[in-house]
Amino acid sequence: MIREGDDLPNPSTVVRYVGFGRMFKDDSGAVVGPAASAFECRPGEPDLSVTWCEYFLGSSEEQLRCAIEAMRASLDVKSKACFCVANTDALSESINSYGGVFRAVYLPRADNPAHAGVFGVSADESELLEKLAAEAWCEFFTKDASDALSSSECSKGPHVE
Amino acid sequence: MNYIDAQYVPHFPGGDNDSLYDYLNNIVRGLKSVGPLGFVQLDNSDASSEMSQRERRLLEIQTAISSVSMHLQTGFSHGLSRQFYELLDEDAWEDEDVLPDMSSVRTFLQVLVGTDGNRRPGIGTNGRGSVTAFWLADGNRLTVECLPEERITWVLTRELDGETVRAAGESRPARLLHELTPYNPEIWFD
Repeated sequence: MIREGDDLPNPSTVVRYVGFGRMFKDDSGAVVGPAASAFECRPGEPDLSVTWCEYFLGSSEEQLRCAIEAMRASLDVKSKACFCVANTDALSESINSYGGVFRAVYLPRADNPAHAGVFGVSADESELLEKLAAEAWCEFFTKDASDALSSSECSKGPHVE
Repeated sequence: MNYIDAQYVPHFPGGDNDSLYDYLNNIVRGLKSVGPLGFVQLDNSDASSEMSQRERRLLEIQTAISSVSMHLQTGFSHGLSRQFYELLDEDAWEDEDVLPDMSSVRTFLQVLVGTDGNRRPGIGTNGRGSVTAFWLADGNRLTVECLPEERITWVLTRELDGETVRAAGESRPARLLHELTPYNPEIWFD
């Protein structure tokens, strides 16, 4: 049973909302992935805000869609923004390889019960942020791609308190 | 000659063609000649004061781009104006982000002039007033964060001799190409 403050089971899938300005684009303006700056913690925040997919019941695609809907309900989501997806195994490998201590912790919020935080990323570690962007968080979904994912009732799984 | 790319000027606050004509006329009258670094500057004309801060900043950026267009590759000026229009679009811009600082914009333009590349970068921001320039070539990524006062930071992912290399640094626009030399930067610029 996972409670608030517990580490997420490993492996888990987490999603991060990334504004258009922090997405890496080519010269035509087409989004090709996240930029390193997408994974800097905001000033005053000790962790990277993410949403935990396996909080929800369903297939992996349904869980991802539910996590995106949870973010849409709790954030001012812009239509050109993207949702970037990572596996905690890949995050752990990247962060640990730069000497950080990776943790993904379940931190539910009133407006997003699947919210979690990723610890171990320092804003001044440019190469680590670039590795995370280029390798760990490289899968992303635009608005149209998100809307095309299978949807479900988004019920909480029995493994979450 | 300096010009405004009217296709990407923010929506004017009037409703008919006369209003549009007056609006653009006011903008043109609001242009001062040349600033200390060779960039055209805007004053507080009536038309521009009716814009939101985001719209006004877009106009300032597009004017700055136009003012150095003769130093850029053919087509860069038009393309960059469109890219900034998309970056600062209401459906794209995150409200809590700090608008690109004009000093950062000048640094960005100095990077473009200094690298003298044939390929226009993608653009973005770190949300704290920077302008970010992105170059991608065969999976090799170069990101240059353009900051106020001619400061830049850069980070890259580069395949070299079968290995993935990552590197980062802080520099000035004029030194960027020199610092990237070990990574064969021509793949991003030529």
